Amino acid sequence: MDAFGYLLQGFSVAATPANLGYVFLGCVLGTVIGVLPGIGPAAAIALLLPITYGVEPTSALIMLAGIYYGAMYGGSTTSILINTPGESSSVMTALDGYRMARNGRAGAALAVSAIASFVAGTVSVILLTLLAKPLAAFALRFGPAEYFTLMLFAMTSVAALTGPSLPRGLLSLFLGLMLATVGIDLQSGQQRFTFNLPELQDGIGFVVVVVGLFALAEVFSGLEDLLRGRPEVVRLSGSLWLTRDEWRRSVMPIVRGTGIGFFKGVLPGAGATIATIVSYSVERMLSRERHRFGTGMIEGVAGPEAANNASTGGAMVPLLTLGVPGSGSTAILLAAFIMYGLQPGPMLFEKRPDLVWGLIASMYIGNVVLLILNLPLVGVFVRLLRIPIGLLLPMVISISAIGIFAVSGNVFELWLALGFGLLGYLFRRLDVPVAPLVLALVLGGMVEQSFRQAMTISGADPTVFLRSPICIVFLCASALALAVPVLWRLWRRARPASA
Amino acid sequence: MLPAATLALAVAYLAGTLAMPSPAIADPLGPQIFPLLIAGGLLLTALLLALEAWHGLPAAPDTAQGPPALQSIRVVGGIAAWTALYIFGFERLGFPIATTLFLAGLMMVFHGRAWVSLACAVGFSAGAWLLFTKLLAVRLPAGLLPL
Amino acid sequence: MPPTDPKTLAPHPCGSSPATPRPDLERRSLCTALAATGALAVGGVSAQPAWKPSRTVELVVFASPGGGNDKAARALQKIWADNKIVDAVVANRVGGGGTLAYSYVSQKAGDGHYIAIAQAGILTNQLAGRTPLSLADMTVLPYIGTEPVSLSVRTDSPIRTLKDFADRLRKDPSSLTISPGSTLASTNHFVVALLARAVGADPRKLRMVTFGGGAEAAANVLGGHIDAMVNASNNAVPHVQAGKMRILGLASPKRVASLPDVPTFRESGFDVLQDSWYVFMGPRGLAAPQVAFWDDVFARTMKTPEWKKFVADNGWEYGFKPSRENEAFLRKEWEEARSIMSDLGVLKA
Repeated sequence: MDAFGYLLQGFSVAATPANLGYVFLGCVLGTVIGVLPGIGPAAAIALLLPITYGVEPTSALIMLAGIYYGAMYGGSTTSILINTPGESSSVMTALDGYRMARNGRAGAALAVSAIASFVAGTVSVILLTLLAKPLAAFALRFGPAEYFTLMLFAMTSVAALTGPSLPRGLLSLFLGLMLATVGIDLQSGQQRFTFNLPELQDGIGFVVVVVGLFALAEVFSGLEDLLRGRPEVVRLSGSLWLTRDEWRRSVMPIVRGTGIGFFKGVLPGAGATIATIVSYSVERMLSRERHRFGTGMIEGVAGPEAANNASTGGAMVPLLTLGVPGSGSTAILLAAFIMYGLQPGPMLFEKRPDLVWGLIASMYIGNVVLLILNLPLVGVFVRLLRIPIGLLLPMVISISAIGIFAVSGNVFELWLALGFGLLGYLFRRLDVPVAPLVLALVLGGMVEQSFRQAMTISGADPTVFLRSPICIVFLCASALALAVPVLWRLWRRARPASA
Repeated sequence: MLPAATLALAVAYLAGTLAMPSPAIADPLGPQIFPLLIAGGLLLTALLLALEAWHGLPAAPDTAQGPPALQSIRVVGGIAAWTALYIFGFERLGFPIATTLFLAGLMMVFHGRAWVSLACAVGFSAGAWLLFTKLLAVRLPAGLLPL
Repeated sequence: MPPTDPKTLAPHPCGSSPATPRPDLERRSLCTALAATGALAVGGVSAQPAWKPSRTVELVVFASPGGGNDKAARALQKIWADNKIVDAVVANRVGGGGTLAYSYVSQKAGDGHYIAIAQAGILTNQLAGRTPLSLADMTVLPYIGTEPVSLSVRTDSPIRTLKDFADRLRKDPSSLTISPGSTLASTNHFVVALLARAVGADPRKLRMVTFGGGAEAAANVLGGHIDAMVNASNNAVPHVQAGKMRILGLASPKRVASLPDVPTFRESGFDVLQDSWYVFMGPRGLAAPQVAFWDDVFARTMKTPEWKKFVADNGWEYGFKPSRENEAFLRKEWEEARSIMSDLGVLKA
């Protein structure tokens, strides 16, 4: 039976009333939990896993897939409305999405996010259906050297987000890298900067930093402004829906984001974050108004949101074909597989096609369900912004506390979040950009580990980074990412001379 | 101020890196290389920040407001201190009580209308407790309440 | 007298049956009294009530999801949930070859709700100076089985047999890139080190690369980025079944049933014997009833058909040692690890 034949069989499995119910339930639960600041798909799955006990394996996995997608949608919502990414993959959405909300275009941001996610999610599942096996082979060509150059490219893209003041951007970047080194070093087992605190041996969690730097800092600023008599009321201008212009501008970013996201998702390890960074970076490079990125450009939301969801489909490729998880979220899915006695790996497609295709089919269904759930919810969510700030912001602190505590069970993390909240507030006042820190924190560890792995393999020979075509492509891309803004600025300066 | 703070941080980080013992067996680079590079980068950044301060900061859009004024420090300090109390009481008093007190305090200061604030605080705490511990099986500390 | 509460999970040591005629009851009472006295004599304190968890137990795993011990932990958790033995949740704490997981658990002194699955790292981490935690800082719980360690390569690798591999090592130990999984100075590492020793090569010259876990190491072998990996055989088995990998040898005492065609190192003429055992550890200061509880839980689990299926499916070797026996076993293992590591120059404690 060919792929489509299997897929149809999968639909027959997924579309039973019971399984449809599970998908729906999963989507709803995932969205509710994903809306919590600091809880992304991985944490949502981990938290809701117990609910799936006692459910038959195929159905349980279908529900988990629903939770996964739901959490991704939920995470985007908080990024846009209250500037709090739920997972590292929502950080890029927060950059322009939140600004769109402040400009009164919250509805449009949420809508484009839902639509981009739906399109990308659906397309990526189609690509998964057709290309799983050949892509798995492609994924294997990425070894440590290739990963390093890929991460380097992502890092240079981050560097381009430094904003008008390069030194401040660098400060943010290096702080992020510093934070990334806290913990036990994977390669050598050496403790670094843990001050003998066992809670720090795990390193500083991304969630804590993000909740602090984004949500709490936002609350501090907002409450302060309120008291000083300068409340920033979030207006709603125009319709909740996208204008024709906004539609037009979103189409290509969605297409590109889908492609970038899917292919990045296929590479085991690293996950959706890099996909969103690359997508944002690409949209910025291709745009004629690149200086306006960061002030509420819809391309900056459409692209990363598409990349985000497309990488989900992509991440299923290594998971289902090799048994290697692509990211934190797929790692948990892997754990769930194992719990149900399934052995993900090269034989899973052969041994349990009913399960695999049932899962894939339910991913399609999940995408549709979420679109149906979320579009009307846009109106509801936006109305939430009408809550008086004096009531809303304190609740945001409390919700953040729930989100952090739920995942770690540790009050220490709450303290850390508070600390980062103050830091974030300072950053705002001193005009230091926050995004580079967060992204450096996420990428820093992977950059270092892959570099050292590659050097170990090559026997400390740096030319290993020049050997494969993949490496060379990414090295050139990194150089371009750094050079283009500089060259463009120089060219710009030269131009006015010629009338 | 910023360049000085950055310099201090860079020096501290560098000291921490150099104080690390080197492990018996490791990869050829070891755990100290990256921190050293980062410390170097941070030192460079401190330098650039100093240069920038000297030449005057290029005006950034509306968000640049300079170091916080005294009144801002007091307000934000106050909120932070109240939040610290909340965290302190999170496990000891338990989520419902701590959250109600925390929210009531902030809301009454920032929103004003006492009854609305109180109602909101209690409502949110109760609602969140029910939603998360009962429906979603998330563990939140009950503290003093016999829940 | 220990309570004969029917809800207690520990079976009555003197046996019981619902409809016993009077003489048996009397015999049972006598037996119970003897048992109690015995317990008193051994315990030296007044008989402690049997213990059972009052909330969800945390099963701490030091690998990320998908790795060997994570699979085992999740299998156990599922067996316990299905058979209503213990309500447990798996918590992954990755890093430092287990130091994170072990130090986390060891801090919950006296609390039987936290147990960690452990492998040789519990001994080697301390010996390598990675952590001050040693066996003395934790309570030893049962031994639940062992996995054969395998050395595997890609199918299209020029290395066809163990002898080829050993020859390459003899000529130049740094000519091959090998992954021991996620930790250096681990059982996996020892296997290759001992092999190098056996052919007269300097184990310190070996090129070892660590990855996040077995799955990642396997992906790198398949992709041609490293030459070989040495880790628990069930990391390689799925790929062997798919025809993509070849196992050169097993470091176990004899061949395993699930891999009848794979020779052991010994058979191939190399005196390399390493066992990748799995044990459970609890925080320090666990009271006797808590240890007894876990001994009983594991003894029962080992007998379940689901566990036997897990062992068979994953190429484990079945084995069980209750806590006391395990403690003696681990002390012996510690001595042995100490001597190997000293020979290899990595001993730091």
